[in-house]
Amino acid sequence: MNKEAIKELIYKMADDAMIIGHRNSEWTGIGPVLEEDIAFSSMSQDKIGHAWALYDVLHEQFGEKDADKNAFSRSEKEYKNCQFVEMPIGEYEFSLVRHYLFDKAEWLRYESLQHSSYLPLAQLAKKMRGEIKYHVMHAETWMNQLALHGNEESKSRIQSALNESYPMALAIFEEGADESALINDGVFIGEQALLALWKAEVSAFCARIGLSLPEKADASNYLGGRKGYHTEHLAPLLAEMCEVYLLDPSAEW
Amino acid sequence: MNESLDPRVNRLDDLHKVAGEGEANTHWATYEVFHQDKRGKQVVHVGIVHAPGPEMALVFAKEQYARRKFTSNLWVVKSSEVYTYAHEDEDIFETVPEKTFREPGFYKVRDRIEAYKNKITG
Amino acid sequence: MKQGHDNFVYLATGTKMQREMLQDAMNRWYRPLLHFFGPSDRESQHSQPLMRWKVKLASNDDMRNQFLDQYVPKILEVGITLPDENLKKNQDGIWEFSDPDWDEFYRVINGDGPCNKERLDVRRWAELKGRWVRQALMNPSDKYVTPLA
Repeated sequence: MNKEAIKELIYKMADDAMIIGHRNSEWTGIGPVLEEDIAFSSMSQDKIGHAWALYDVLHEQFGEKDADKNAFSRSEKEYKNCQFVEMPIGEYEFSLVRHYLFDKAEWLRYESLQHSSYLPLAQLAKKMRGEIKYHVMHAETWMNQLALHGNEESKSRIQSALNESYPMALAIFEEGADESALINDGVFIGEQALLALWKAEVSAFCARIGLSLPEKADASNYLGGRKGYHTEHLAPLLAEMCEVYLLDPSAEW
Repeated sequence: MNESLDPRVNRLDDLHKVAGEGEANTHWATYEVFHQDKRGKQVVHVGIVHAPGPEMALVFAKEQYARRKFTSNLWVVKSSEVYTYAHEDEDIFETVPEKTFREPGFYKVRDRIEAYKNKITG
Repeated sequence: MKQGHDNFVYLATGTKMQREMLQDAMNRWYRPLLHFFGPSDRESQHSQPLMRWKVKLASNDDMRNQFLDQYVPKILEVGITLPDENLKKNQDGIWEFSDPDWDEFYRVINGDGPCNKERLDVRRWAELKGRWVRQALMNPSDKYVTPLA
């Protein structure tokens, strides 16, 4: 098995979860409806929990730093999240659409990983299923409510947010250094295959709720996250997220 | 730039320009929520949620009632679908406490048995 | 509560920086903590009816005393001090303390505290920004019904 390729896969999954978990926690206290405040906060906890579980695998199976140190002490270039998840929360429609597009990709990724030949990932995928399933359910219920059953304003806001975020979402599937190793070893179906599954589900869902996908969407403006190239938004996020830890990395909290 | 200790508050644009009244309360319908902690056990009423429809009611109910305890499932029922006696008619339940012959505690035969035993051995 | 106590202990028993942060916070929060339980029973305006209706189960002074009884030992145990040289338990088991400036208390509860304006601004901001969501979810055919229980 190509361990480097597996390590790269886990890092990007962990960093995606960590960064979007942190971003969505920014809705705490200012959500449009109390239950959404609670929902985003609790889903953030779930996502950060997933990141933690993945950092643990990196620590135990690959000798990387322990979870806390790993999450809080890397430099911007060492984070392998996609650029989509580091974008600011923006208006609620952006966060909701991001929640749908990203979590749908997560769900499909974990579904496929249940059959991974790399056991630690297969086991984690089975364990985290329920939580991710709910995240998708939550996103779809809200999208349905606002796009299909809402009013003119909500429909147009959701459509604009979709136009804006769909190209960013495509960059989730930026390929790693050695996709063929992962595919041949049975660890993972590969980003291309995942992208195809995701596109099928997203286009069917959007059609059902009366939304159209932007026509010539391409990810080229948003690639690079997997190689450590980020937008100007990641550095301030990291500064805030790591602030307490960085006061004294030797302290216990 | 706002000057809060909370960096998130500092990112809220036009914070201090928000003036005027909030909107009058727009009320959604209510749904009665029932919680089951283990498959096969009783489903217990735990409260209500306000929601614009049943799917949203289920989502809100999960957030409010299933975060901090073991849950195997939730039911939501629109409040307007629930049949119940009118509040003014709750007095029909009042006679029950006086029908003491329906209560097991009413039967105090222990005294009779003791008295009888004393009599026959006396 | 256990989680809060855990955090407190980790900071108090951690690095010098952590202990200093904690002591600083303790110094700042001491007076507001006393305020939290409300004015002394002699001055409390709403206690009587609230207690008759069992909304409030113990008087302000009782609650404050209970709090001090439980927490002062825990605080002192880890070497954190309280900024009040008059704070002590008398022979009747009642905690005595310096007057915590009740004028400040009344100012804060009447809207003139350090965070009131910000908090209200944030609430208004959130309400305004979220209005389109709530409006989109209004379902004119759904009527509000008084809850049943």
